[in-house]
Amino acid sequence: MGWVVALASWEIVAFATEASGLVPHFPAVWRELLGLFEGRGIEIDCAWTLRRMLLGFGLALSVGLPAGILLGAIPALNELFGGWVSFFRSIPAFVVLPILLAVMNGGEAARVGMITFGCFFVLVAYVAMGTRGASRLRIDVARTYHAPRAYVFFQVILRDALPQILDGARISLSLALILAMVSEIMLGASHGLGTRVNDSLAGFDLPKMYALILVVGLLGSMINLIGSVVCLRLVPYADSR
Amino acid sequence: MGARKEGVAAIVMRDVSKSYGSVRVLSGLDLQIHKGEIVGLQGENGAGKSTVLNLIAGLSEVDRGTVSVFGSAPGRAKIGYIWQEARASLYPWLSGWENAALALTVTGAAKRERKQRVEDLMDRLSWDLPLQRKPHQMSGGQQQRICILRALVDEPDLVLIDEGFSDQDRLSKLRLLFDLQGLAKNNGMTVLFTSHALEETVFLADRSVCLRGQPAHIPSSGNVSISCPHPRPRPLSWSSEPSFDAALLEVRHSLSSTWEPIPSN
Repeated sequence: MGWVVALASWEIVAFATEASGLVPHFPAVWRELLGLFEGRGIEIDCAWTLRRMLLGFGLALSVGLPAGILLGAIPALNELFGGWVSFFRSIPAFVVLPILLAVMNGGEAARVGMITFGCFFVLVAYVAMGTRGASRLRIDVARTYHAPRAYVFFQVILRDALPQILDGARISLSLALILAMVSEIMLGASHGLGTRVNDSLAGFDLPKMYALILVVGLLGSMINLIGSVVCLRLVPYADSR
Repeated sequence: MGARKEGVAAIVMRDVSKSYGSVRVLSGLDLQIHKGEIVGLQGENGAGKSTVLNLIAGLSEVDRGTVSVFGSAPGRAKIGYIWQEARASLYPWLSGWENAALALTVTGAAKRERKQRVEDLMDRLSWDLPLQRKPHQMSGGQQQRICILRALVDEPDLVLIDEGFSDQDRLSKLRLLFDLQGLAKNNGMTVLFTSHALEETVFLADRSVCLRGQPAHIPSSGNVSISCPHPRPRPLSWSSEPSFDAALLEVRHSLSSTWEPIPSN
């Protein structure tokens, strides 16, 4: 039913803006969408965008996860650096792109660097929050039964923090997709969904541009769905804590 | 039958003071509990009962005074603790039996032994619990029973109970009190529990201790031995006898003896 309403709304807007041509009719967009998957290389562009997204996210996670845990577990560190994390988290990642371009050797490094920058501070914030917010009572339970410190940290604090850590990872992953495309648009690239969107806009090929937007939406939805399934599997108790 | 037990001191608190920030909760508190005693700690809401239990468990430290548990600093004895917030104290990522076996897990007991000991304890208590489920898949009463299993499975020397039976129905609670006193006496456990229900205290305890004042302390009149004509385990039928009512009255009197009536205008 939702799809019917969405399509109907689309057509209403297309008719209303027909003179300007800003919103093409859905059949035209649909034809372009099918054409994208009929040997026009959209899979290669998806792969490049996903590659940048996963590289940037992976780098952010590999440094952000331990950094967030340290910030959450050591109050003195949080006092020192917590404010800086909030500060840098507020800066839109694309703003630092010129700096990255100047510092790094090559556009690809700058693109991945921008994604890493954007994801890193979001991850650190969520991981730190989750670690800091681990249940005091559950920690006391482990202490009462003389659990070793390693057990308390890894089996209680981090397990309790896991739902929030995974939330941060999901949000960062969605952000990584957006930043991957933004980096392709701002810097240009031989392949990538952002590049394709930019090219179709430059050529005023609106049906293709809308078709590409649908592809991006589908990709983002799939990533979200996979994230939900992973979370449900790892932390089925998240809503009941 | 209700005489105060002489012997090795399990818990000795001398001149204990404890504050949280600018709020002093305990001041000049003296408490001594002998090995094998079952003591009920009474007091109004916010009196500091949980604070006393946490100091004994070694979960927080005194600002002044000393606490010793079986002759050592707090936090070293084998303790079982039943918290009031059952759901919040259980680990949601562990199943019921894994939660119950926590004390055995952290000491490195083999999985088979852990399962066996949990099942043995369940048999002794005649309980039937869905141990393979996670806590969020259980009722509040079942979660509290998991907490009780967790506290008792490793046969601790000292059991601390902070309103630990609140989620049980009346019949289950009576049965639990009956079983607990049997377990305590058979295993030589010392028990310190808090409860708002005076009937629970009278049925279970050798002695009632009352926290009074703000900050709280224990006056000499706050110690009441509970006389029961029956040997342990006290039968459930005792709660219907006149001697039970007499003991209840005595505990009630010790609680209310310092209350002042609201002055009339």
